[in-house]
Amino acid sequence: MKYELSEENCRWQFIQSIETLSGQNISVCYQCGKCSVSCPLCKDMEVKPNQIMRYIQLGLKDRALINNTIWLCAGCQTCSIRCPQKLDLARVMDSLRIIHNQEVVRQNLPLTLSVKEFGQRIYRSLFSRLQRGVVRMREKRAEEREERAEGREERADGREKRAEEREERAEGREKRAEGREKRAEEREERAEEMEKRAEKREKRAGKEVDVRVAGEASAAVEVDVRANIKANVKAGREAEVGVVGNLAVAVDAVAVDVEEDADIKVIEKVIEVEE
Amino acid sequence: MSRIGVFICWCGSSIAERVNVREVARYGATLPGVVKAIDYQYLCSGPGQKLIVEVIREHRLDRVVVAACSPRMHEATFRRVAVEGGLNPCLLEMVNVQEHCSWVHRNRTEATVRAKNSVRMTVERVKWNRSLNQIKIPVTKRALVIGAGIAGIQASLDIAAGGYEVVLLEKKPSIGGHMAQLAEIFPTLECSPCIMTAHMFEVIHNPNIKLYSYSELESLEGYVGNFTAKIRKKARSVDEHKCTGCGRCHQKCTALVKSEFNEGLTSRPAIYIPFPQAVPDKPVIDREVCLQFQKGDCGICQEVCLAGAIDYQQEDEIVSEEVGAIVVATGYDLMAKEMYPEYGGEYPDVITSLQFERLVSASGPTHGELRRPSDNKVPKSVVFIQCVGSMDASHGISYCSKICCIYTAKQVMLFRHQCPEGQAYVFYVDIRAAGKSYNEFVRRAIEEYKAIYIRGRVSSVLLRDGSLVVCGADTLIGEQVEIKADLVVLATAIIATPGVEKLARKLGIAYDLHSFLSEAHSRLRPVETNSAGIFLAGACQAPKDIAESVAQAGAAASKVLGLFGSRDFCQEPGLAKVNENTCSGCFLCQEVCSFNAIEIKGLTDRRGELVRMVSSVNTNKCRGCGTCAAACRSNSIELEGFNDQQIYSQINALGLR
Repeated sequence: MKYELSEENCRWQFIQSIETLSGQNISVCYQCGKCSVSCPLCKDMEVKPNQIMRYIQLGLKDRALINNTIWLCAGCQTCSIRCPQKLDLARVMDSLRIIHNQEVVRQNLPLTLSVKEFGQRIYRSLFSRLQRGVVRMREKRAEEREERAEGREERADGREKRAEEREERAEGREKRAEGREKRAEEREERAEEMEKRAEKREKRAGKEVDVRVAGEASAAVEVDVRANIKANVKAGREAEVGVVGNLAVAVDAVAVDVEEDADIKVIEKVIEVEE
Repeated sequence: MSRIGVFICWCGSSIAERVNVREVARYGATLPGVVKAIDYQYLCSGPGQKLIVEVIREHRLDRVVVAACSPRMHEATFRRVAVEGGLNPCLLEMVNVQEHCSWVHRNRTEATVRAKNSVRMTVERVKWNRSLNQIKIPVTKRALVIGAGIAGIQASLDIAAGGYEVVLLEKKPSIGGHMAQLAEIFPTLECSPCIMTAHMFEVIHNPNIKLYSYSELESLEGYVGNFTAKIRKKARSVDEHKCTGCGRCHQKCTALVKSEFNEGLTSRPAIYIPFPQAVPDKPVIDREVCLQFQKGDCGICQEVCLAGAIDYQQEDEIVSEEVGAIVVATGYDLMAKEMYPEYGGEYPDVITSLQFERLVSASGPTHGELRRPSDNKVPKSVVFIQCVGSMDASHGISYCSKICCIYTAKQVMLFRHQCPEGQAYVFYVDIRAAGKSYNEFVRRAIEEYKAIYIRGRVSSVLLRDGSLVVCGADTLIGEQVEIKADLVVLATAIIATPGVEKLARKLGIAYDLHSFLSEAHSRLRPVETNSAGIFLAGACQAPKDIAESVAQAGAAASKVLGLFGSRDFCQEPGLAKVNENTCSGCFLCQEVCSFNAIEIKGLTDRRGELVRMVSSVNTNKCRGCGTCAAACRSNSIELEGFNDQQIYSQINALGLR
């Protein structure tokens, strides 16, 4: 296809009438195509909205007017809202429709006939498209329904699975609880045993205490000290000897090592006897 | 044993994404002589530099290796850091692990191995580095500006304003360049000649500017700060001092030729002033056209001249000027429309954009009224064709000429001002109007001046039934388009001035594939050339509009003033050095040196008697290219900072794994 531009083309009049009717400056359109990608009916249009704008810019009147685009435009204004140059395309489409009808009058076509003709043409194109659209829509709906049914089944399966998993988890919990009880019992048993052992240890305490008395001291003092320590060791673990008879006896440190199943020994014994 | 520090830069992720910098640092630490190896995210940043200084001081380093970007980018930075740390700057070496490793390898392992090798080699090399000191050069504080278009004039005025003398050289009889030819300039539609002539008169009235018009650079000798320019003052055949500029001579002259200033739209006599506002306003005889010179039987100008200024015996004069810096501002030219035979260059109504400027200029052939050349009618429908030659690799021009989109929009406006009922059509490939308020300007041509912009190239311009028809493509709707046109304007590509290569060779500066002069670094040194002391301004470097040319001219002037303002110009060390003990005096080095830096020196014995002649390097002229070192037969010349030991140890280190 080829178009020609020259002074003879009556493009100015056409562009001006569109600009007056729509109140838009057509030349601001820079053909980004956002109107066409936004248009919900674009796929059914013979000429895309941005191409319509281009035709008007070039003054290609016939191409701008003779197409189904201007009749398919529902005036939803998506294009107008999204246009980066703030062009109101819906209004441009309105003015194209007006000019189209004016042309019908101007060219003195029998109005009824022409209207009928246009009506038929539009009806044909629109209806066939609509019909096709409806069929497509139905097919689509059916597909969607199937998909949804499949989805439901999948979801049901999922639910069952999840219920099983829940049961398994509950069993696991019970087992763990039993384990805990068992372990508690064992702990108690062990505690009892420990107590028993402690008693045993106490019984054994005081069996053998070997004390040497440093320095010079009488045997009586030694016996006294021994008895005192014995008594103390029986009661606690460390003994401090105070005054025995007329002698001051100080025990610096008496560390007693208590071992299980072993006799009590005084392993460090430094007893100073002072007179 | 040297104490070397190795620093590896991540460069954000530029290096670190391909090179395992941690591993390289660990490896670096194991190399013999290395005391410390560190990796850091941005070594060139403030904290990074501080880190280097601290490590140098703490570990008492005596050599530093920085593995980072190209030394062209940051060597100066890191050498300054080394000085701050107390080292001689030449004891620092850089390893380029960016361009040489991370950018060229896809595989991380390979890149890391490569980086390790480079680091090892440079560590071996740096052990042989010696302390070198900068060389001070005295500077002649006069500048030479080549080309007196807007860029050259601006640069001259700026340098002169700094208080230094400027020698301004112009090839043509008048200064002013292309800007004097323009009618109005975008984006404000100001009168171009009004701005330009004011500048031109400022040039001749400025006591600091010495103008040589109708002159060319014959040869250039010397080096930064100390150039000697030989200037050929072409014979004007008119004594400038006697001439009063009355204009009788060119009114009487009968030999006519196409006018260069009016882009061939009118003719001019053999003795001519290019345009009424020309500076200097003294005529010149075009000897190739003049009947007196060609046939020897005219002499009418000499007869009518009341001042007796015509001098047919005048000869070219060679003048020598001492300058310290040079600004090259030789401008551009337009591609001839004949390069596109399919666009109908032979039709008188197919014109170039500069011809259009002349047609709408008040000083033009039609005194500012737009009338087409063929029949003097006012054109009603004008087709502008953009990208004629530009972005057309088949014609050898792959670049965008940058200003056509905007000046075409301007010409649309000028046309509509002249002819309000006219219609303009513009064929474009891409609208590139990226300057300040340029896009709005182009949109104004479309939205207010109603120009029809058609995206696509033109296939041909035909003459059909006596009128021009432009056949093109409209790729927006995917169709062919035919437009009847009264006038077709071709925005032909901007090309480098023919013969600029010869000038570049005289100056010793580089030029690119398209003969545009090359800057030293496209981003960081856009006005410097690779030759110290020579700067670029305007469209000789790349297509530019007036605003950019003026900006670059100012930048070049500030570089010149910076050079003049410093007490002594310091040159980087790293020059050739002759070992006089082994030099055999063959002087092959003198022959190969492109900078005339090798001089002959006589060696004398104790009694003062001449023993033999050896080479000696003039450190002011030497650029450290190393040609002499390579040529020397007795291996007596070494390039400091690039001596044999350094290079051999580097190569040997490659062998060690």
